[in-house]
Amino acid sequence: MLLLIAPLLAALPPGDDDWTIQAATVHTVSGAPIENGFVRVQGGKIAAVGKGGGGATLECAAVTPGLIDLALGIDTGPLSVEQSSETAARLSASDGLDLFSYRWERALRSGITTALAQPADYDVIGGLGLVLKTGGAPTLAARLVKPEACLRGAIGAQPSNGNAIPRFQEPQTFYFRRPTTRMGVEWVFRKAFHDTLQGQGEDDPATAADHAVLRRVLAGELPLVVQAKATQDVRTAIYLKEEFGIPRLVLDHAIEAWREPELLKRSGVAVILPPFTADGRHADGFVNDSYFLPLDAARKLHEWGVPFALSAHEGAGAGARLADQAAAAQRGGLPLAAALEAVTLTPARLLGVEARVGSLEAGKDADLVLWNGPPLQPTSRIIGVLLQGRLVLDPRSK
Amino acid sequence: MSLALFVLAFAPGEPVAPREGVLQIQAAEIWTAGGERIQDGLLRIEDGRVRSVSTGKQSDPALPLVRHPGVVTAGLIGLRSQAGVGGELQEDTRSVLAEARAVHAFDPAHPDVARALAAGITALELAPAPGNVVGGLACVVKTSGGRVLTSEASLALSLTSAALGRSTGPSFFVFGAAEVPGEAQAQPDGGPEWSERTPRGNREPTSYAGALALLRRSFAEGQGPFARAKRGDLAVTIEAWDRHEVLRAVELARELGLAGAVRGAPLAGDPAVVQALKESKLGVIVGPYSAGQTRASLESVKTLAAAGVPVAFALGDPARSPEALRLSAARALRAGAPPAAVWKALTEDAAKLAGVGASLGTLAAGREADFVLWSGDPLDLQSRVVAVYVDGQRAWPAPGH
Repeated sequence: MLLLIAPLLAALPPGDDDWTIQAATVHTVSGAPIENGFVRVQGGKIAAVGKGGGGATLECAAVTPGLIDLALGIDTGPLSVEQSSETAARLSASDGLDLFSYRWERALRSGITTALAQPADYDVIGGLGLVLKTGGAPTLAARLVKPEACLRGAIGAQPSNGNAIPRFQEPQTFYFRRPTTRMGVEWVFRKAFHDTLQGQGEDDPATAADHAVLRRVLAGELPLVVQAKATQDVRTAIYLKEEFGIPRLVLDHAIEAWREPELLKRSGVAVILPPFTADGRHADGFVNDSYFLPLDAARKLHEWGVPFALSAHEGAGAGARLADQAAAAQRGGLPLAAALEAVTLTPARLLGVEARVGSLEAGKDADLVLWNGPPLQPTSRIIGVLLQGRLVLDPRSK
Repeated sequence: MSLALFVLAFAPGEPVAPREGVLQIQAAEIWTAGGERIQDGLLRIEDGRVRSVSTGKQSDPALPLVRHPGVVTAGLIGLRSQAGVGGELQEDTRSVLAEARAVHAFDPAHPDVARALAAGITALELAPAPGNVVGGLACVVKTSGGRVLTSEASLALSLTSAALGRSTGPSFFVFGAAEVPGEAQAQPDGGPEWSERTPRGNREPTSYAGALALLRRSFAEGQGPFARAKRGDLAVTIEAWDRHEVLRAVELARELGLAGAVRGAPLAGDPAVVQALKESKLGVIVGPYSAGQTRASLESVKTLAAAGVPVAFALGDPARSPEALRLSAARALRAGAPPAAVWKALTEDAAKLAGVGASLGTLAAGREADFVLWSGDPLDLQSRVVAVYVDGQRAWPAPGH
């Protein structure tokens, strides 16, 4: 069958989704930038990357890989996480996605082509996260990159918010047995891993299923991505990593990770930084906490050799764009190459999807961002986006 | 069935003794089934069932005859009705209550039921409300005579936010980010996104993932209605509003081998949703349509019908006039749905999606003799109900009036 079709294909003119993009600079991320280079796209994949080239169908000042956001936060809010138990490792965010949300399209047009979807942070252990494309038909089958990419947890004040002790009434609802403090949250985390190692309570199929997921985390098959905003939460997460030997820990929304250089270097954790603010202050009115994120936090992580990704938390509705975060990090002293890596290849590696996305190499998905100037600069604009070879933002349209 | 038709058709010489419960209706037009319209037709009723529908004027002079210059059709069916049940369809103490039966809330003497009858509705489906993941069993009842056609018509499931994170009752202290009594979403198009209005109550499940896990467990372990639904003996109705909820419902039905309908789904006309529904064993119960319904929502009947997906209209709220059923149909027509599809949605497909397609919804030999005499085309809002017959008896206007 294939043999029959092959000559036909060869005779056909280039497909609608076949492009040759010529750029003053091709930022491959995996290798050195190529001046006056090209990227050839065929059948949704990158066919070739090189110098020179001809017969360009699209032209631009710079081309980079599609951006990747590990904290995009497009979810169905409280409906994305099962709160009747404080740990729900067995449940997946894939069951609670809204792929019809207009926010995916908005993210895609801002250059984000791949994202991590996770349960919202109302549980201590919320469930499994998945990597998907931000565009395409609104079905999981069409967008899925990796179904079980990480386990999501939260350390700090947020997972205990809304829980209470039964002071004036009978302890009738599940909110009464959930943790109400940072101590309680840490205890739930430790108990989950302790019970897993001991095989406790596995007569209950739900607990057994939770433990099976936690074992994959302990074996290093699944990264554990935990929210850890404040210094004490960063410490707690790292203590847990060291106590239980969790191989792959990623601290998400780690506003104050920069305060703990020795712990970060010693433990080998990775970090996802939230958006920068104008004055560095981050307030969490929700739980009455405040934090500080200096503009040079990314530069520091880079110098310490801590793998880190930048994020825009688009779902939070702040309107922050991932490209702007990379620009802000450069203002804090981060070199361009490192800023680019923090929004492409590093997040891909942290979730184990670097074979498909994260850099411009032949054979990878043709997810590209086209710029009208040097990429990730406040003075540059994204003029084109390709998702798996499909032009979703056309640089030729004015 | 075909054998019975054969026998009836080829036994013309058989003398039929005049009996009680025998009736002939001669009408300018009889709408039978599948869009067929018989001009100058004769409908013969015996013992509460349709005995035959034929053309011509060979009425039997020995039998009672009603001459009607207008149109005769099967009675309308009002799905998801709340007529006369007074808010008794939501059992909040349990998320899963497969054996709860809506029939126990049915008051046959309630004026809502009589109003439905006068509007040409001969059967109502009363179904557990969408506040529970598994609400229980819907029933189908007649609007005259108080007869319960079946108390186990379909199993009501819900995958909407209305069933997630509900409270078991009013709480003195309100915990959680945004606790709101879990009312069904009021957004006419399912709403673009979740909002602060999303309930965060204290009853399991609080999430889509939790609801799916609960349903999978219920169907895996469950006896009774769960086992029957999986075997295909019992239809399901899955409440799903937002487009992603509909896709989740379709996927669940495929996984568990369930057939029936999705209820709600104002944007079921979205191409991705239509495609998924087309490949499923589910129809869609839409409406009731209000005057403020968006065009995209109104056009879904047209789109679904074109894709061959069965559609029916919900009646909903008892405060709404039962005429809302024909109004919903008129709005779908105005948005471009073909009249044949809209008529099927009011009768044949409604019966099918309610799990009573073998008894109601068409005028064919052997079906229940529930029919309406209209002054003209029933899809024309200017046409009036002249008379309504239920189980072969004139029910409206009541005999003697």
